[in-house]
Amino acid sequence: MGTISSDVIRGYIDTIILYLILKGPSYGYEISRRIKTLSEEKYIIKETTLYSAFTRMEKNGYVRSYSENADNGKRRTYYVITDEGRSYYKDKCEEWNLTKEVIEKFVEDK
Amino acid sequence: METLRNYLDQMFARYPETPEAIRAKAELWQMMEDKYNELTSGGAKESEAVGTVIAEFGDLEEVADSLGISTMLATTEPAAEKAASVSSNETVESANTGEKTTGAAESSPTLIFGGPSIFDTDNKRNTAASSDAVDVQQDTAYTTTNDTIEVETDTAGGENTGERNGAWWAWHNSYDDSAAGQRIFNASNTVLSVYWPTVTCIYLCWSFLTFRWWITWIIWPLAAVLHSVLKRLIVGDMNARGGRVYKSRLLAAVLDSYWPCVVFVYFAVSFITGLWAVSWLIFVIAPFFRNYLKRISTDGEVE
Repeated sequence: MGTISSDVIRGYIDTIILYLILKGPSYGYEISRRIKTLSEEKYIIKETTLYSAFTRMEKNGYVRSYSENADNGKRRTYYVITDEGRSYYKDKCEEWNLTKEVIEKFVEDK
Repeated sequence: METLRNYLDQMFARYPETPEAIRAKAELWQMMEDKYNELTSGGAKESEAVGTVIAEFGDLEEVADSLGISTMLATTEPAAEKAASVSSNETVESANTGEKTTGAAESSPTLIFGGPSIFDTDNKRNTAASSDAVDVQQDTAYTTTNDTIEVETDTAGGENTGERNGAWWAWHNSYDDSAAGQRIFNASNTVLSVYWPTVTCIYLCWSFLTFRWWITWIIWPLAAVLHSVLKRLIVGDMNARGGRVYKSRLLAAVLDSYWPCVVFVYFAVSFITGLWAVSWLIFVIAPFFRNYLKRISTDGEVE
C-alpha cells in the first residue's frame, strides 16, 4: 500500500493545487512534479485530473490563468490563485482538520 | 515523442474540435512534453519515458466531460444541459464550505449524494455552464438534478462495487418480495413436513437392524433439537412476520414445549415398561396430536 488512490484524495485535489500556487504562479507540469516530490512519490497526479481541476477552479473563480513564453521559447499557461481561491483554501484546510479529527477516532494504530 | 503525439491525437479523435478541446489538448500536450523531456534528460530511455507519460496520463473522459464537448455526446436536450449546469454549480458552491453543504441539503436532493463525488459532477458539467445558464428556471434545474443523482451514484459506486451492490439489492428486494417469500416459506414447509417421517425411518431401520433399542432412542432428542434449530432458522421469521397468534397462552406454551414433553413421556414410559419395541410409536402419533392442538389453538389455521 505505497500509493494513495485517486478516490480517496479526490475531494482535496483542489486544495493541493491551491497550496502549490499560494506563493506564486505556476504551470501544469511544475505543479504535478511538486505534488510527486512533496508526497514522496506516494501520490502521482494524472495529467487529466490536473487539467480538469484547473478548468474547474478557473470557472469557480479560485484561479485565473495567463499564457507566457517560457525560457525555452515555448508558450506555457500559468495559474494564479485569486482571493476567492485563498478563502476556499482556508475553508478546505479547516474542513480537513475536522475530517482528520473525526476519522482518527475510528482508525486503529498499527 | 511522435508516439506521444499520436497517442494524444487518438485520444481526442472522438471529440469535436471545440475551442475548449483545442485548449485542453494544448495544455495536456504541454504537460506531457515537459514530463517526457525531464524523464529523458534524467537518463530514461525514450520507450521508458513514453511508457511512463502514457501510464500517468489518466482518463480523457475526466477532461472531456469538463469541456462542454460532452454536451454534444449527451442525449439530453440543450435546456436540460443548462439546467444541469446550474445544479452542478450549486453542488460545487455548496461543497466549498462544509457548513454550506449540510445547510443546503434541504433545498437540493443532489447535495445528499454530492459529498463523495462532487468533483465528478463538476468535471462532467464544468465548462458546459454558461453565464445565461444561471437564468434557467429553478424548477427545471431541480428536475435535472435527479439525472445528476443517477450519474453521481454510478460514479461514486465505481464499476465493480456498483454492480455488486446493484445485484445485491436486486437479490435483497426479491427476498422480501411476497412471491419469493412465499416460495421460501413453501420450501421450508416441505423440508419440515418430511422431517419427522425421515427421522422415524432412520430410527426404525437403525433399531430393527441392530436391535439396540437402548441406544437408538438417542435419535429422538437429537432430532427434536435439530428440528427446533431448523425451524427457527427457516420459518422462525415467517411466524414472527406472519404474526400467528394463538388464542390461548397455555396452548402456545404447550405447543412450544411439545417435543421435549413427548421425548420425556417416551423415556418415562419406555424405561418403566421396558417396551422399547412399541414405545417409539409415540413419535408416530405425536405429530398428529400436535396438529390437532394447533388447529384448536389457531382457529383451524395449520402451519
